[in-house]
Amino acid sequence: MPQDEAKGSGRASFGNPHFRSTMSATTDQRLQALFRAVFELSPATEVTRCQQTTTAAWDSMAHVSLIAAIESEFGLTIDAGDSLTLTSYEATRSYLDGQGV
Amino acid sequence: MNFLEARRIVDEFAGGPELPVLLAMSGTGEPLELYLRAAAAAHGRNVRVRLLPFNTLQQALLNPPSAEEREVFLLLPWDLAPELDWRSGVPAARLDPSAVLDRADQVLERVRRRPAASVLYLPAPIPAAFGDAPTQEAVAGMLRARAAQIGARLLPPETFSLSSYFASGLPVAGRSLGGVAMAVVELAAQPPREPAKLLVTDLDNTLWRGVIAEDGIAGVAWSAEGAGYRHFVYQTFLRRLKGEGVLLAAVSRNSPDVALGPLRTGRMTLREDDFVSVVASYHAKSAQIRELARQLNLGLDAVVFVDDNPVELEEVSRELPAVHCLTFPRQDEGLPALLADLNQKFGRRELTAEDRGRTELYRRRLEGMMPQSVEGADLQDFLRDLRMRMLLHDRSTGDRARAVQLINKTNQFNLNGRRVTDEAVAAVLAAGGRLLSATLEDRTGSHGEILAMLMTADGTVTSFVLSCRVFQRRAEQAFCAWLAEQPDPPTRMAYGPTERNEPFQMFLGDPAFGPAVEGTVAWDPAAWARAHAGNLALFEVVAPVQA
Repeated sequence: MPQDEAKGSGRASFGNPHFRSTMSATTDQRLQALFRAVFELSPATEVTRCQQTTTAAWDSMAHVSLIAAIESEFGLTIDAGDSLTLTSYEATRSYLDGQGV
Repeated sequence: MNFLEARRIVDEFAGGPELPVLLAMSGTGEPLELYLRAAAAAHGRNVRVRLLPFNTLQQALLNPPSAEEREVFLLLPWDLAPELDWRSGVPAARLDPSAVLDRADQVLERVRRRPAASVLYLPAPIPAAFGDAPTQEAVAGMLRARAAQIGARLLPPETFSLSSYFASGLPVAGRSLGGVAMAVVELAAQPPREPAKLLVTDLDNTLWRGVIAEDGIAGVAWSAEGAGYRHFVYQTFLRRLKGEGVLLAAVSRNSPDVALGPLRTGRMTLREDDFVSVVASYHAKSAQIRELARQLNLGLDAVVFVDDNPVELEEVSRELPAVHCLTFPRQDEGLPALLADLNQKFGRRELTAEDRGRTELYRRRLEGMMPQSVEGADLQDFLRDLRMRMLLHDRSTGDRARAVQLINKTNQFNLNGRRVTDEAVAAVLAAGGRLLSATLEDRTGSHGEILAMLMTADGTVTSFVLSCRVFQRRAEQAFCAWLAEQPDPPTRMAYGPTERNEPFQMFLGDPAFGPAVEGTVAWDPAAWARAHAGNLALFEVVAPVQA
């Protein structure tokens, strides 16, 4: 798992056994609800394992919708370069954590 | 409105009338769809959104509009001038501002000609294509101004996201999606609007500065100088509207000869014959406006009403919600916004000979107009929201100058029109009489001392006045309700009709008064207290303090 790119945070990335997310449970729930809504995932789907390569509904337009939804829900502006790295739930969670959400 | 909130609104929406909308934008619009559905659901509508394929706005402008859908254009600077598109990079050579603006004018003219189109303009930054910063800024400003000129609603610049536009072609920042969707739906849901046809204006402190019944012709101001300046400019604007075929009317709580006095001097910009009707009475303004519209055979949505008094505006807007109510500003700085609103409401009109003669044609129709119903709106809630406070003063000792002045300058709500000297008042007080007054405050501030009552020792009210600035607030009813509960309330009033005191004559119509003939009118405090407890409850009453 790549190192977290949060500036000045010194935090290890998600997937690192020493990783401790600062994301609250509520934010986590919101992110999961967001993924479920954007990709219309069934209640049985384990959202935290969602990846672009293995999620059928995750095409380019859905990715645009995902980025817009994250910006809307969490009040962020996601740079064009960063948006291309958010290709899984884990990567997104890590990114939000780096943003202090 | 964020993503999950929009999703929740859509999931919980039970359905409603369909609202077919073409959102005409050149960029990526798909992420807006959820928010459009949520915004429409908030209006009780089920929106059916059609988006244009990416970067096909210019082609769409060449196709005729569909009669089955409302068009809302979301335009950015590069929709007016494609060479300003960030996604194409900065042009190799500096752009010619004139050529850019010419292209923009052509695009905007095509948009303007679409009869049912509404327009949003997002004044996003433009690439550095003009070689120097001042030209850059001037062109950006002119594009925005030209869009506004065709009636575009301007979005805040921060609505634009360059990151999002680079990444996906969606020009709207994620945090602004809800706001843009709300704006699109508001525009789409509005019925196409014809320009208004009738402007109804108040007179006192609107057409002129001052209160004609209190200040007299010499005391009101309407000239291009001093206190009358903004009223002068307002009159010149109304004169222009009249010349373009807009009908002017006036409604005023006054007697007719008093209201018409300034208009007949020949010294105002407007004259009596510029109006199809000047309706002066003490009836509810909503009743007067309703009758005006009926006699002119106009829908109420064709009427704009301008007044400085928030109580009158509230009464009209509650009783006649289709009428557009605008506030005449109390300060000069508010005038540009009022004129801009009026300009927008009355739109741009092609002039015909019929337009020029319209006022005279309609004047003849309206002679003898009288409202069929004089009842106005129930303002209880509005008055309660004002959080009015009545501070009562016993001016029997101490400074009574303002109270005496009020008795001597008030004409309309005046028991008998009699003027009093300070010596005469002093004599009444020395003989055991009382002089009471009241100051009115509300959540907007203080209205000053607005009421005065002089009573002789035997309980006869010989002077009772209320400033016309606070008519309609039931202050006179509330004051009398408080008085009725005091020890030894008065039981008689020395009434006398005058040419100007019709409001007081109407006040005497209350069942707690005996017959209103000249002389002494009986007053039943207990009956008054029972009947007007609700009016007293509208006020926080602060007990008299010594002056």
